[in-house]
Amino acid sequence: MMLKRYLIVNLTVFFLLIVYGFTPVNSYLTSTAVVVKVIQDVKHKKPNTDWTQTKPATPLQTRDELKTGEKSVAVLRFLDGSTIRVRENTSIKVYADKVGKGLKKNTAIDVGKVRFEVEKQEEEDEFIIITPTAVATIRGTTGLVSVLEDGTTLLSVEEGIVEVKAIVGAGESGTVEAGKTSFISQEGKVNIENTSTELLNELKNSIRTNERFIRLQTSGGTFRVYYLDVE
Amino acid sequence: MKFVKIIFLILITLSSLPGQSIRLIIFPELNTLDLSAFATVEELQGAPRVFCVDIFPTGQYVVLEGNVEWRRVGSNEYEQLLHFVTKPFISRTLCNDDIDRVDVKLQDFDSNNSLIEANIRLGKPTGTYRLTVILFDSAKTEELSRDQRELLFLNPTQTLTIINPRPNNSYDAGNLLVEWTPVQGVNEYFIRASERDDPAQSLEDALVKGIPLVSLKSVGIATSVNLREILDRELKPGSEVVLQVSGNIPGPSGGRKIFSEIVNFTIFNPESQYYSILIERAMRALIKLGDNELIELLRSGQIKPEQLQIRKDDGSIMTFEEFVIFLESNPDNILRIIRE
Repeated sequence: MMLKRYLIVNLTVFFLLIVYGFTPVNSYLTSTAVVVKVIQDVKHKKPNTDWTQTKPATPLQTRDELKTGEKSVAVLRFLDGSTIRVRENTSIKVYADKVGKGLKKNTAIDVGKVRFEVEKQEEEDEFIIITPTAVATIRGTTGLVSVLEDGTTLLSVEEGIVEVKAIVGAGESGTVEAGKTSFISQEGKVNIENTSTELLNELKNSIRTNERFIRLQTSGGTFRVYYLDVE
Repeated sequence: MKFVKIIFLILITLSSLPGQSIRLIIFPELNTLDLSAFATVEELQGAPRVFCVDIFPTGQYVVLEGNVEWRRVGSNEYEQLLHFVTKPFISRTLCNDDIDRVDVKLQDFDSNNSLIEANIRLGKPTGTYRLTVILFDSAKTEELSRDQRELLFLNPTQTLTIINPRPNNSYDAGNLLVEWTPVQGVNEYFIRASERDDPAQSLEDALVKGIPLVSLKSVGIATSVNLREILDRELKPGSEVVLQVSGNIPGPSGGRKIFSEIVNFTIFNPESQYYSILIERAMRALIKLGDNELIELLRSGQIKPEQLQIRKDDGSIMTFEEFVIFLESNPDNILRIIRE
């Protein structure tokens, strides 16, 4: 009787080990990116779920979506250390596909602004940003992508080089170097110019993802004015 | 005497002997070094290790003669600060905190005390210092080598620094916090403030000859004080004020005094148009965040900007004017206002 009970317990433990021991129970391990910072209103969803309020350290898996509200920011870090800073009123979808030995990381931006700080990619790896009108291949580069409501894409490069190709209409392509901005129209035309002062300021501002505050002590109470500062 | 020792050690580091080599190790770089930091400790061996010097070969008896001169900012002429000759000593590897633990003693020494005092009053190394060293044999009969170096202090650090008020800013008469950096060794701080009634007057003159507002009042070891609490005379709206903080470091002969730079600032006139414009600008900048309680309180006059205490989360103080400018120049980066 004792031997039978002993065998049952051991077999149960063995069975549980087989079932759970080789299953990646930690979703972080299978994630594409992790949301490392959330400021104000940030939500995410899986393909078949509703929008959920995002908290710091939320892992994002392939095909997950994320959106930011008014005056809101999210910072995502990919497995290779690349960072994207999702600015206000922006909607993105992340993908990661294992191809051979490499990892293809895609970020699709529907609308809004995203600053990218992409680590130098291995030969077999790829970091791609897709917008309604363009696809940009990024290798060890920093810059800012803005997608307007009509799908027009502006891509400003701060450091490095980005290959950009229109995926609509004329399907033009081009190479965007540091200090340049490409405009990809709905007609698929790619126009590359020097980055304007306005866009340069926007580039500088896009790194502000550090929430700080100013404290005002008054006779009518104490207030805090929160603002974004550089990291 | 301590000042002499400091200069003396620096001079040693600059000297060179024929056939000998000297390797100077400084932490940090000498041109950013705050020499007056040494004045804040009673004995040099208690000072942090700032520099060391390797002399090769060691074991030779030498005598060092030195001359330290100072050229004020804007002047073309050097004035002698001090001159010294050592007793014979054995060349060795030295660090500043080795002083008084080695056999390096002075034979002769003379100094211009009023000039040294003028240096200390500036509260920081300023202008150009020229250091000349002459190396002799142990009998001081033969000159072996000489070296000279100029140290230019363009952007020096400050020992006693006033954090608030800031130069050329405007402050409210009823809400003026004076705040400064603590200095190790100080047992009593003093505040002196005067009204500068003539813009042509230098800040130094205005402090001494202007209408006295605070006549060297002790505030103990506190590093901040509300100016209103120590005023001898009421602040006039629209007036310009000059202010200096000094500290006493106890020691022989009454110790040593260190001084901050003199800051000048103006007193807000709540009746002035500029002041009401500033309130309007603040409300215009804040309204971009939507209706909020702070704007309502400002609009209704329930809170007055002159009564506001404004600080960043790192503790640094902002004037109301700086706050308004900050809001205006960062419209996209202001997130929200909440009541604590």
